[in-house]
Amino acid sequence: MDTLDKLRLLGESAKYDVCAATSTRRGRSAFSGAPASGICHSFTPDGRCISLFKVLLSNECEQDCLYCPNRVQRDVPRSRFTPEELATLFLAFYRRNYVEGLFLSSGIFHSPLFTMDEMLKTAALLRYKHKYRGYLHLKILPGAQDAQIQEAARLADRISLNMETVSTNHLRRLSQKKQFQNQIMRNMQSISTLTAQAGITHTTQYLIGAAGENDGEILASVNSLYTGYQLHRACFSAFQPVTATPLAHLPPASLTREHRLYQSDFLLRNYHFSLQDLVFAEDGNLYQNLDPKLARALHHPELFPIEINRASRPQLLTIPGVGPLIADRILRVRRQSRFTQPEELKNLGLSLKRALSFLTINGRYYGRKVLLNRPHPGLYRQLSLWE
Amino acid sequence: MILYDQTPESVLRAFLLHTLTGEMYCRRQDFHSQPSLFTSQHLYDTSQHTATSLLAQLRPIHNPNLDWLLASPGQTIARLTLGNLRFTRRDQEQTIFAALAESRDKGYTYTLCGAGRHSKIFLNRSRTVGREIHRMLGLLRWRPYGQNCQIARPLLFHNTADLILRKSASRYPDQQLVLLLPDHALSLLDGHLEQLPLQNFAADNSEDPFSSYWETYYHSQYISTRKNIRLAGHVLPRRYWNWLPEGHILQKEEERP
Repeated sequence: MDTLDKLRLLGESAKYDVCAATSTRRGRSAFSGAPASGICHSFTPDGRCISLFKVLLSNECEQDCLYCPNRVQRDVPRSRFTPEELATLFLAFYRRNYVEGLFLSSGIFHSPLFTMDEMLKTAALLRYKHKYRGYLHLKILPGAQDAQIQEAARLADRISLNMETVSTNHLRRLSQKKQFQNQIMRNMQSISTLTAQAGITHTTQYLIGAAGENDGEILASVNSLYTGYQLHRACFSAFQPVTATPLAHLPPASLTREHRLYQSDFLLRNYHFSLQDLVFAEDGNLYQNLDPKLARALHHPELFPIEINRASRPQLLTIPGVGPLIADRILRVRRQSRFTQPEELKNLGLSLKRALSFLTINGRYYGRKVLLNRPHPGLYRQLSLWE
Repeated sequence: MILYDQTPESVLRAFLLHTLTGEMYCRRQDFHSQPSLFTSQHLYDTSQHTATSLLAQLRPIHNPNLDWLLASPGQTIARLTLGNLRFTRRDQEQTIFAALAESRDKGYTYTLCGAGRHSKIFLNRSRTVGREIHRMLGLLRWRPYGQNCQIARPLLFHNTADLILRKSASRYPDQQLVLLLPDHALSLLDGHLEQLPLQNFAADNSEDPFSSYWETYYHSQYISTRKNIRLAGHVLPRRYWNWLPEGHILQKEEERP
């Protein structure tokens, strides 16, 4: 198989892996001079950004994950890059500015330890032989040893380990070989300690809609990783059925559900929301037709309207349509002047359609009281159109 | 009449002179193109004043004072002014002066946050220029040209070529970077910018053989079940589609039901 064929096969095998762009803590990693903010180098027809060279080292895999296109029982062509071959190919992409960095994962061939060593060899080649100083994201394979995690944390800007789901029982529905406590949670504990020592960040990924967990369980798991394991962020990937896998008959998970989970995750990470602040429907899932912050505001009308000239930052962040950026702008303007009319808030970038019913400006209410006094679903949906 | 150059420093000094004297603004190149029009006017030249001396004159007569122009907010205003000067539009300076007047009357945060009508345009134009630079840092495809030289053809709507070159330089240390613009080439080597004739790079008409690798990789990353052309058009505006090598794939996907 020539390099172009391998690129096609191993690029396609990695396309379901989710990774943020190159955001990193500048100057914290031992090697990297990667930019602090993400730069996108292209966008695919599904609207996703191509920022990193995202490939598998190999699509040979001994695991039996029911959803995975690379599972051992699936009859597909198999191939692998040698570390030198992959390093050379990636650098050709990088030097032409097609990508901003490397995201390296792999199927497990021979054993997790052997595969992890091959991935580390690739990273070491880039860092030591080719003097590569750009962004490097390494996936940690379940069952990797602590020494390997330590080496990965030294070489990479970011490492990640896929949680896939929330508990042992749920994982059993996806794979008979993977062990939730012994492999995933144990490795997560090591990663949390070792990344803190190395000054880099770690992330994880959940597969949504394949193991039957609800949004409440997923967000509780994410929240426990934020509080107990210093997780930097969680990614969510809506399940897409792959032909010739045992889960091929399942319908794909809703992209709206994935979107609502990302919104809730942002509330937990950047808006000082706690898990108890989020509102779930009776089935434990987030409301699909409402963004989570709007749902919270409509379930707690007693907290609104909020006076824009007096509210604290956490209070501002509870208003639908107000994010950290807008909240900070409001606070900056308030240092020297007062808001007197909605137009001034609009100029700051605030969506008045969404926010106006939940705030007062200089004591005056410009919104629709009916939304707070007698809310009905039609009004919620109308607001949701303005996300 | 206040004569100024199209640099942030000169524009800010012109604004201070205007606050002191109430005189009208005049771009230096307009003045030199038709000097006879302005013979009866008293001339204030920004190059003969410093911001410090102008602020000292303003202090007794203007309250609150504008000393913040020499501090961190002033640097931010200067940076935003630079962005506005790079924005391709004939009324660049009118917007800048109107936004500066809002910052004088309502406080600098009013302008820095874009709360006022003119401040909002001022901020948005600077952001547009910044976005073009940021976008080009990702979308430009550099290709090797001879020894230690990389060339690329940008698609620019504002005057940002030199800023893009300087920002790209950290990624290519010890290399000459050349942007091929419609009427000339702009080169950056060791921090030194130089305009070169396009003919110097005439051999660049062939296609980079590596582009087939890129298209293969691009295809491999697309999940067809998540197709969302509207989102793709939002994050990557259509005016770039014909310019990018992968643009035809986006167009084909758009036409496909």
